[in-house]
Amino acid sequence: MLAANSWSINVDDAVVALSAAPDGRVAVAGAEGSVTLLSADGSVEHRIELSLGCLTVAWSPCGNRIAVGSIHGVDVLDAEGAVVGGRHGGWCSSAAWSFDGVRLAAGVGRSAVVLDAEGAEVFSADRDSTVTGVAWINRRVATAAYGGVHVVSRGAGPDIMPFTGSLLALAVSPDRRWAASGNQDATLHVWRIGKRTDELEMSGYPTKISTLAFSPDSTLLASGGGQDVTVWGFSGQGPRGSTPRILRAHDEVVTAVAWSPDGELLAGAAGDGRVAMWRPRRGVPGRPLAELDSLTRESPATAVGWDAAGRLLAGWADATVVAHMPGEA
Amino acid sequence: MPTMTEDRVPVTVITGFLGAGKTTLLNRILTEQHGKRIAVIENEFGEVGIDDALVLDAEEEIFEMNNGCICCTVRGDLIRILGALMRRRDRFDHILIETTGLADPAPVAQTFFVDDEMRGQLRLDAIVTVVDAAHVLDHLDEVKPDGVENEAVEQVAFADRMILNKVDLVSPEHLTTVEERLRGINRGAEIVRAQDAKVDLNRILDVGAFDLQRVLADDPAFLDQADHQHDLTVTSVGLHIDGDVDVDKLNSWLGELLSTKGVDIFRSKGILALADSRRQYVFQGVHMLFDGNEGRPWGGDEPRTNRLVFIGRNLDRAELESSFRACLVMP
Repeated sequence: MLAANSWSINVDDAVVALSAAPDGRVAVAGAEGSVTLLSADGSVEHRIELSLGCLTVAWSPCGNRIAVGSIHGVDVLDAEGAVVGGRHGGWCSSAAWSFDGVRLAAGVGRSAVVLDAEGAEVFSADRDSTVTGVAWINRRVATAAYGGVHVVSRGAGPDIMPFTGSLLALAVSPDRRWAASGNQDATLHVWRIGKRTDELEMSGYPTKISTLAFSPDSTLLASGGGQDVTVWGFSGQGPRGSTPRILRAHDEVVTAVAWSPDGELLAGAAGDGRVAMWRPRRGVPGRPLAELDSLTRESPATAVGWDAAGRLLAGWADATVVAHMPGEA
Repeated sequence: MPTMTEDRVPVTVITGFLGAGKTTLLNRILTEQHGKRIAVIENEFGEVGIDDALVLDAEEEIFEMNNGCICCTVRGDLIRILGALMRRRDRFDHILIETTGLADPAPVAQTFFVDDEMRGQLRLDAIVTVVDAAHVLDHLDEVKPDGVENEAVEQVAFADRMILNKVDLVSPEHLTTVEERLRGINRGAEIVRAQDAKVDLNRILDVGAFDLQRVLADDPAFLDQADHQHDLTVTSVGLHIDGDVDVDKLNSWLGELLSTKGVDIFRSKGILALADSRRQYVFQGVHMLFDGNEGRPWGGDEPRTNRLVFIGRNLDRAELESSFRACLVMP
């Protein structure tokens, strides 16, 4: 039996991404282009058909705006699902709100664009290939694309962190000391922000790395890139020469990872249909850590997130979205 | 050797020079009743005019992998778009990719070999090259500066099928000349003549890419074709050798061959009789990369014959043949 704060709903579109509002409402982006806004108890409040295919969604920390990335660009929606602005003209698979919700950074085609909360452009910076990741570093924006990470700001040229290869995912630690990219060549590349020569590369992943997440306290970086979630320690001088923690539960490639707001739990989704939760800080480097809780469906699990109350949110390709209060199994 | 089950979605890549008839072919495929649901990735100048078709635009992004080796370039745009497309894989049975007239087919093909996600979910069914019967010789003969590939030659060399289009615009003699020229480059690909890109779609969709049995059976001359050793023109070498193949020897031979000659070998394909296997082993390669899986079982009275095709530059038939023979259980 489901607890009162757990629910499950079918949104009638393969789930691509989801994001929680501060008050527990949930925005779900679908592969066919739908956006479904759910109340905190899992009932459909609004549903719109936005494009021919959504790629990412991010609810603003202010709770009054939702950014949706699609194959056509980025749209800014209000909390009722009405489009208030945005920028079209290219693929948008990454969008990130500034901590105060005043600015939105998004990759749109071969540009990184910064919009205000009404979806009007503040500035943009071009790259030579499609932008695959954006992240804020104070008032500057880090953008990932083939060839490396550029850190851009209004009216200034880019600060370039080069890397020869195709970057698929970008994460910046909340303390803004580190930037990390997951790459097509199955490596993780790490830069020390502001220290040009301080960078390192982790190899040995079985597959390309398309999902990354720093813990809220910036001490751990979780990465996909195979069936296991690999967690690197970033305390002190960083992970150089260290052995990662290995989180094991999946039989297929990990599609998404997300930390709980308190940084104690990590959720990972995978193609085998399982969404697993671990307590990574209990893991011993080099020794696989088993999950403490999991949810499984017979369809690839494609999205995970958490709400502010510590509920796990998960989405599957069969259009199911679940809210779940994790328990010790 | 990796073996995969075939529940992967077949992908047809359509190449050909501007004006050869790619878009006409594409529109024909999309409008004809063939019972298949087809998703299309068209190039940035595409003009597919079908309203209810699932059509996505691609803008060429060529990414080097690893050490920058030319054999490891892939199309980043296709990885991205195909990845998104596969999230609604229940909506289609087949994917068509239309490339630009000047696109290098190698990175397109290599995308299906290098990327794990692509390899696991998609199967390169065939590269179909549309050829303009009236103009192809000019394109093939165009002299390029040193180090620049002739795209028309590459598109012909990479083909699994060639649609020789606009046959109504040339004389029978010219057509014969063109076909000979195309076969001189690529003997492994069947040539289908067409007018207004009108072809039987069964000959280009779901062909399993390399039903070599037919190609080789129809064209025995292929097997003792004159050598073009140490020649920079692109040619084909076909081998047809009886006997069971030792898997370990085959792996080390193919590995060595493709890593040392992979730059010159555009494509390799084959149907092999592996020792202790009741089923055919079917493989295809693009430059240094290859992929294989089990095919149908060998027939009861069917000779266990290995058939291989190599298309590329500087191919040495005698050396290929003797080194392959060394892979047999009983040479």
